[in-house]
Amino acid sequence: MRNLVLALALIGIVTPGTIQAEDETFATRKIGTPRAAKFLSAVFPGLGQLSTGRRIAGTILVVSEMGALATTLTANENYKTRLDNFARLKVEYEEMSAGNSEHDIAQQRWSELTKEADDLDNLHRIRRVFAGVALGVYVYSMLDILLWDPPVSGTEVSWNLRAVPGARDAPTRLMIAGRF
Amino acid sequence: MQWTLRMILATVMASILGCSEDHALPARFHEDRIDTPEHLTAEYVGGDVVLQWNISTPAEVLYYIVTLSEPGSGVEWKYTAPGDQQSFTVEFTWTDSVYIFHVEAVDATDFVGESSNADTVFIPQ
Repeated sequence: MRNLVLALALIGIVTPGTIQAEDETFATRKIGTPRAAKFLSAVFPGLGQLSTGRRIAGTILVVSEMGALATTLTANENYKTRLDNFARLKVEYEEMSAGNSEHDIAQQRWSELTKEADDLDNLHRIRRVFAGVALGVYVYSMLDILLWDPPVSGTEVSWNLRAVPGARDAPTRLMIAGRF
Repeated sequence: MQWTLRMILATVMASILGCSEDHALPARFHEDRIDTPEHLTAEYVGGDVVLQWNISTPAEVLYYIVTLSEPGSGVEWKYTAPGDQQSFTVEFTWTDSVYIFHVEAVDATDFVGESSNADTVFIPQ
């Protein structure tokens, strides 16, 4: 990599000044202490596990929680939108009971209402199930970090600043990378 | 701090988990609002078409809407018949065609009930 960057520098794609920063650690911080792991897991499930080096468990928990939350929130938003439509149809239907309306139109509105109610039932079920999953993942993550596998030591993270050469017309970019 | 965050998340989740289903259907009024005319028959007699039907609760009917349609052209004509009768004579300038008839009862609130069965008459010239 150094040779490649040096070669690119020689042909003028990147300037030599940008190469000097590569692979130089400019900051080191110890994370993954028990206190930090508990805090991170309280903020979002799986972060505490990731900070203590348990990448697979942490990744599964983060992805599960994100998926469950995304599904819950999407279903919740859809529910609220459909609920507005349902409320409008319901008002229209109830206004027909005052008279000056027709059976066929009322029957059509009733069919739309029952379909909306079925869809709302499904969305309500989805948001409850996935909210339960999200809550379960959160509880599991906290129990995992608090009771079953408490972190005993910290993990040192080194932060590097790297120069990334761009293409022929693109500028050179800087990249900050943390190594767990 | 973490307890606060935990409580906030738990509250949000509990509110979603415990939220009630606020989409209950209203009372279904339109089915039993007014009876439907039944056993409608249409007969071509002496240049007019005579319709007859039955309804179980005639007292609730303010008037009837008699609909005459010509399938060939898709055109409809509507007549009103008094609520205290269960027959109606349609006077029309008939052409050599098939005509379809049906009747709807209307109550005092101008709610038009379900349409009766249709009956078909062929008018020869």
